[in-house]
Amino acid sequence: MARDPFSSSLLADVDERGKKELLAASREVTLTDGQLAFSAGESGDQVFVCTEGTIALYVPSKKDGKERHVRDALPGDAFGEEAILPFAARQTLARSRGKSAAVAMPAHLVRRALSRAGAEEHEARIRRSVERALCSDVISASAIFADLSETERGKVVDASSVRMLEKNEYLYREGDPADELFLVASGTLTQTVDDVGRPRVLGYVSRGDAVGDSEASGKRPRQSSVLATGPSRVIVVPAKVVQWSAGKTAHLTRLPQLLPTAHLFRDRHRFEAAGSMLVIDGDSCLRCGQCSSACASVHDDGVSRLYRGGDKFEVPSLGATLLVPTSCQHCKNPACMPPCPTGAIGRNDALEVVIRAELCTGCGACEKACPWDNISMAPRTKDAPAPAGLAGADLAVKCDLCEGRAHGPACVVACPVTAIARVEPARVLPELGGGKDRAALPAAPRIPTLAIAATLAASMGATLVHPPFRASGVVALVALLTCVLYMLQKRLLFRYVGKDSVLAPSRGYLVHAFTGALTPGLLLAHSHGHVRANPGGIALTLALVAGASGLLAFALGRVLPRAMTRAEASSTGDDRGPEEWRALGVALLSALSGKSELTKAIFERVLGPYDRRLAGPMSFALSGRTQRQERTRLTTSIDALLEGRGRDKQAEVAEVAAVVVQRRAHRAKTTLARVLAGVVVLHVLAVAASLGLIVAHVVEVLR
Amino acid sequence: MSAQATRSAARSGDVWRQRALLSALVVTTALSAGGAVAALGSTGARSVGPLALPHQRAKVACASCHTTSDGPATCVGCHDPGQHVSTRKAHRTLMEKGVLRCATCHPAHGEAYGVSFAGDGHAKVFHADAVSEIETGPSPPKGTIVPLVRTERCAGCHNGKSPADPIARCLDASGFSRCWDEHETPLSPRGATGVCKAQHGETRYVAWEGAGRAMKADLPKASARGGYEGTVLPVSLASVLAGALAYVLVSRKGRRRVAAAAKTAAFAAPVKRLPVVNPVTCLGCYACVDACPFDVLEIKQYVAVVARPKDCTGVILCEPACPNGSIVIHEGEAQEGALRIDEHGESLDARGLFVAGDLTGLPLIKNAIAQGARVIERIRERKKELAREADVDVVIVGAGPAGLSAALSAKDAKLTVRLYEQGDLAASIRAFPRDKLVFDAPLTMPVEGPLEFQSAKKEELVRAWERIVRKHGLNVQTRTRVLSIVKDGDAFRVTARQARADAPEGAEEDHVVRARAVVLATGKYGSPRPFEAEIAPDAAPHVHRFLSDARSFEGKRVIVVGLGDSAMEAAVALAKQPDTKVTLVHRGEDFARGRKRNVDEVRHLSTRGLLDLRLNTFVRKVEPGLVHLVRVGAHTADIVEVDAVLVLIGGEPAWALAEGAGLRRHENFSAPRTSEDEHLVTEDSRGIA
Repeated sequence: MARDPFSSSLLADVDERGKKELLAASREVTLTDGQLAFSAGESGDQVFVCTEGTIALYVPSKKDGKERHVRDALPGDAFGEEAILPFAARQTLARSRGKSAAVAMPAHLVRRALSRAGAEEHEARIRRSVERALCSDVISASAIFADLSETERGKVVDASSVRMLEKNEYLYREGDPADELFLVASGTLTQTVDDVGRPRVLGYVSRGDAVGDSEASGKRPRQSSVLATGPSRVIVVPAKVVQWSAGKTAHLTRLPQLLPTAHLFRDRHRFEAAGSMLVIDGDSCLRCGQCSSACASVHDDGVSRLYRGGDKFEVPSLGATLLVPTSCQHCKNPACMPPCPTGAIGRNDALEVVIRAELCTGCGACEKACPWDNISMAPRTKDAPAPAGLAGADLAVKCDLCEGRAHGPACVVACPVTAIARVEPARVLPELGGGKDRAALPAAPRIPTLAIAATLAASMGATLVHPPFRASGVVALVALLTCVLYMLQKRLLFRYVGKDSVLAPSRGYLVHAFTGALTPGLLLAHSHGHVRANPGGIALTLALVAGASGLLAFALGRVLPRAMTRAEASSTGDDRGPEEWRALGVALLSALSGKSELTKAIFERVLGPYDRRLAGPMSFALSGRTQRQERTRLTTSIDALLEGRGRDKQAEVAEVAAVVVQRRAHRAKTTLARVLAGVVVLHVLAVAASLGLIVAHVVEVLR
Repeated sequence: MSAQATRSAARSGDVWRQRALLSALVVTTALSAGGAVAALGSTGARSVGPLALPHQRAKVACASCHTTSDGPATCVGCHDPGQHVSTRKAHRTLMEKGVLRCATCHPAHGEAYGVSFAGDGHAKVFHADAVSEIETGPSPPKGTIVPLVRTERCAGCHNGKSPADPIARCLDASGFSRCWDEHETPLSPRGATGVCKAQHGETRYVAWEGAGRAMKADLPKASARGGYEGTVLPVSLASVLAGALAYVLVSRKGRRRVAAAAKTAAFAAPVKRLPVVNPVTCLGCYACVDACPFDVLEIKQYVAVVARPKDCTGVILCEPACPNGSIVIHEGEAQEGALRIDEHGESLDARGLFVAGDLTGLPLIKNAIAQGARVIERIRERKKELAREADVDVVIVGAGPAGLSAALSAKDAKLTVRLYEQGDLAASIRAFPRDKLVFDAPLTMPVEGPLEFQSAKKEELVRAWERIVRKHGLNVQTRTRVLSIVKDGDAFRVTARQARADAPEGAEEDHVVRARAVVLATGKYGSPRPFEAEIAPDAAPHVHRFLSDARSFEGKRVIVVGLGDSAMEAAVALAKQPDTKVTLVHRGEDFARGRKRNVDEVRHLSTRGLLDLRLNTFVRKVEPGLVHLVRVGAHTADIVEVDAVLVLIGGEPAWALAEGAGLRRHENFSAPRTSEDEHLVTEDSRGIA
């Protein structure tokens, strides 16, 4: 007999509305003997209430790994309630004893309900115990306090406290008085020093690292600033305690020195948080947009959950450049989840972040909460479930990993060059402790260019024979239709073929390349070399144009993506180009405003002409230089021109030069993107016109 | 709601590009197929060229000539090889070898021409796909047929241009050989006509001439190549262009921006309107909090509460943002201290007197711009009802966002306008700290009128406005203070005094003008709040009421008075200048109000010793180079050496001027409070931005 979950003392004060909301968003879990509801150390986002059977809670010992029994949760008892603290890790593991059942409730909803019911003491109590456990964990693991006895360490724990930091919040700043040492419990922080008005990154600290230690023992103020790159928690140990503990131990406490690491990622936190991140290999992405398009076509509302524009990251260890498009990255600690007032956002058993349409009110809180704009609001389709009375409300949509579709994420399947994949960065990037395996990242398939060229040559050889008209016509038509099928396959596959495709578009691309190389020869052979101004003849001419433009697109697709990736600082979708260009214009004006006469003169003589040079963007794109290299080149040439004059104005000039280079890069990128897109348009138009005329040709031949 | 959805749906141009490609494919294929098939239907032609008409009429099937699938066509089924074969020896030899065929000279497709004479002066000309009848004059006997062979057909063996080639004599410019196969080489060059006649006899000659006339009369009109070049090529080109157009149209659809939202109320509601949140249904989702540009709402305990009801302007953006209808708007009594103006910004007590901008109680630059434009629109509508005799249509007081917008709109509406400004153009915006970003929230409010407004840095905004003013040729009378506005009959008599820049201090010039309408756009800080310190006369030039550019204080010692956002922002900006020593003086005990960012920054600079923060302190006296600072409750002054004093304690609206003109407030108006706390409220730069 299942117990009412609200008989639990934790939830006793929850009001009717809270109960309703909690019930709507919670799910029932049945556990077999020995099955775990959760284990210690994992980040929890659910509070459980036992409804049947017994669930035993254990604390695993740090030393020998043995489990110490804490208590049993019987029907009506809550467990895992530490999850109501944001970003708290499980302190215990919960194992079913015999068969049992529990209700799992979204922790943030429980927090809301409790808070409304005025039950802050619950939270305070849980907070105290969770924070103490956390302090104890981190302090025991730290090298600074390694030599203390258990009781001495207990004193350190007593004196310490936990501090939550939001993204971009300073832990401390250069020059602040230093009277604390910090141990990072979760998250990543950036340590910077002020370098003439701009922050220079010294390195990153994350779980287990200590910061502020160099000053905490002396009387110096802070020598650097520490900024949270994402929601983080640190254990605060007062300086006095540190000094006291240093006196207790005979050994010299040595801390691992923070090495000045290279600036690998602008947004390291993002990579660490991601559970499944969509990444595009910048060197092979054709910028065709099949990924977005496929996404839009698998969803009933026709709204793509994927926008191709996003950030660009270098992965030096693997020699790859990754473009991270705007698409849900299924965070391990989703920032969108706590703000959702109805618990519509949750994580399923595979730890994927899901939005439940039947609970989503369309309030947009998650859209604003996502730091990377990966959630958008879309009109709710008629069939989509909705909360009572909100049938017309918008629906928050984001990547659902094409849940329930056998082919997996449509964007990944749709990519003609397999340049896109879903990965867990922490596992595949050596910079984050992943294995050094380039194959884990997406990369273009090996394209047998030689074989394709051979096919093309062979098909041209076929023009020497004069095959029978009808048979050769049928063969050529089949080849041409196979080529065209590729486009329809890409467009229609996901919309109308719900199951796994016989031919993934990446294979389709190869088949297309081969048939494309074959078809012109077959058509020419069919014509016996006669090209007349009749439907057949014009169709043949157009088919040859299509073949040539296809060949050009193929060749450009092998060369231009690399150039584009090098030129661009971040990958903006083509449709945001005008916006970006306007912004760069404003940036140039403000970079120049209020600057010295020298800077303006340099702009007049060097940077302005550089900015206006018509061939500049293309020469930059084809030079293979990155923006940084181009900037250095430009400033070096200016320095040579100045011959040592105006040293104090170098920063000003560099600022303007940076904008001018950005403008050139923008133009280079857009030009290349237009070339890539334009060749495809020409190709499609030629094929289409040819196809139409072939219809006429067939009609007249059969008549 | 739908605007949001449109934004995200329009976000991905990729989706539209794929759709555009598919539409281009469909359009082009359909048009080229349809067009070419239709062309076939109209010409009745075949792919290899139209069949000669007699063949068409005889319903000759492909297989009757093309007996093998790829062998040469054979004509022997119908045509007698004995009769029709060429008599020329060379031709015969070639035919026996199989190199020359009937179709070598007379292809059955595309160009089967010939002239068939009826014997009565008429002939039929056979074109590729048609027959026309013409008069030929003298003609050979009935049944005579002159085949027309394209000269290119002979090019395999003959060179028509070489005089040595026998065929050269028989060709003319028509491009056709009208020769008969039994002709022989002319004997001597005695003039073409004579030679032909002599060689081939009268009949042949007449037929030759008749065929020549027939061709001249008719051939140019007929489509030379059987209608294909005439139709199919243009059809296919047109289909390609149509496909390209389809591509452009569809892909552009994805780029279309969200249309401007409907007009919102441009003036604060005269009655108090307040959102009321139902705490039972409120989700605590922040939708309303984010929608309100005036920070009226706040989330407490996961429920929205009306935290600053005083700031509510009654524009109501929160209600539509609420996802589940938890917000209702209650209309209450008349706004406390609200101006007695109608929904067009016109005073209820002094008709013809209009108000725009911050003075109306509705903050934000964007609103000010919209109000300026609305007010002028109303004046233009009401021009006939306003005073007949006046010097100008409208006098505008204040050249801030509202005043400029009004003046530009007035110029557009062809009203005569005079614009007075006591300081500089857009002085309130100039007073922002350097590089301050001027936000353009709320996004849902459209900007009306010619004055542009985008999110920009303050310097860019001021520059842009200066450009617009220059472009419109607007005359802004700066440094001109309006002394009084008096109702004079139907019109207003406006007295203004201009400080002359080219003359010594004190030289001033008074303007008096009669205006049909007056727009008060003096803003919230029309008169600076009085600074109660004693200022020595020769110290006055060192006391500033706003900071236009922190860089001008580089290396100076500056005292900033006040602790509102503008004072804090100024102090921070100054402290970041090299060698600038900043002292921030405030009478209160602690930070009473202000943005967290500013407070944090001031605290941080203060702990680092980059800024000297003196609370509980006020300025008693300013002397040249010296300032007397006194701690609250103390008697002795701390004398500090300074180069400049920045007094950033805000200002007050120019009430005296407005009331003199006849503007009144609602009855429950209470006099503006002057407590320290209140000056921080009015000083909040949110009020300006």
